[in-house]
Amino acid sequence: MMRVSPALKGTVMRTAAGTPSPTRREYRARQALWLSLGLGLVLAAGAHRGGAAGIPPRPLAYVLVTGGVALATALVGARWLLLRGGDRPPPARRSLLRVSVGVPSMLAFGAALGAVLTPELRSGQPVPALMHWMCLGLFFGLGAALLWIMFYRIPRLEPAAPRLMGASLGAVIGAWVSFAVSVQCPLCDPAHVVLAHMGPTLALIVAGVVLGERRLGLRFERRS
Amino acid sequence: MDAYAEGNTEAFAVVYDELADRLYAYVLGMVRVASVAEEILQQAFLRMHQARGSFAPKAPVEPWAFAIARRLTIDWLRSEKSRWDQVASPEDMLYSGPDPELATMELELTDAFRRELEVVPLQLREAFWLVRVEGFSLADAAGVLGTTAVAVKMRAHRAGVLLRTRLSRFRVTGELTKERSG
Repeated sequence: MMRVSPALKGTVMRTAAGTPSPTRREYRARQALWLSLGLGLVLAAGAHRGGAAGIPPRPLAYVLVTGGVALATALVGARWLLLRGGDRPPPARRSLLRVSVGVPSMLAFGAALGAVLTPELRSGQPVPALMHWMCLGLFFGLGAALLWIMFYRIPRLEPAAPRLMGASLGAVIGAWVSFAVSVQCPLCDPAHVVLAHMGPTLALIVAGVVLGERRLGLRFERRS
Repeated sequence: MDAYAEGNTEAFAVVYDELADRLYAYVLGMVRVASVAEEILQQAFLRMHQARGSFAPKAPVEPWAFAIARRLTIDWLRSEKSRWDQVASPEDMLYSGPDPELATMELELTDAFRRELEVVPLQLREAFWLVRVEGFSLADAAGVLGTTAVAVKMRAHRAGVLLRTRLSRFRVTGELTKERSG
């Protein structure tokens, strides 16, 4: 058995002692704080026009289907990332792939189901471009805030598959944002829903891949 | 690791004692330079220290630690690609430990094995090392390597076949098997 130099232990212990790191309790407190803030942002964004109840032209069934599927997907994805993804580090690559692909698929399913269940909404009337931009702006603004929280305020180490973990986080964030946007938007046009309420989730997944590599992955730090 | 994550600072030394030699052997098998292996090991332990708060309760520490060491090693290999052909001297390859005689005996037993293992392609070699030498389950090894259990099984098997073929010339297969099981 090859043995490492005994001097290295002293070096590692001294450096660790001089570098404070959060204990599990401190980490969880920080996690709870930032996740609460993230959830507060989602709820505030969803309610800022009065929420589903404050928009009379839309049938409640439509809001429940599109927003409900997004919320259920977000809850399942978040629960998986917090529990399933953490109980056996590093998480299996296949499981991360399921989240990354499953979340946008479920959102698309919700949009399609909403359109099928309420055919009267497909009036063919043109949607003002401003409405698209307002929803997209809300989507990306809220998405950026949640990405910042998840990648910069609640750091985690993902040595095996940082990009896939980033993609999974991006997908789940996309589901939360999609829920908020779906609840507050007065439009029911299927094209608008797909383009401005669900589709940008793909952009958040790509952002998650990039941030995952940079923030969750590991780099060898050269001393000389 | 659980105790350390909860704030018991002395537990880090226990984690280090448990893992250091095993991680060192694994990393050295990939980078082939003792000084670099120690540098990577140091950084791996410091990353574990920094991330202790996010370590899942009651989770096995080995797959996590090996995955961290592997990722740092791969990053070093990528940055050193131009120097990949660098061959370490025997002195640099082995730190002989507190008992030089024992180390020499170990060297004699495993020298052929290590030499032949270095010839095996990196992907196959690391799967073989984790499963056959470290005794990881296929699922744990798959987690470390970021692939599926089936892929790990195939890689370890192919590495084993390659090694058996090469070592059969030296007629030391039995000794190595005995050493591993011991």
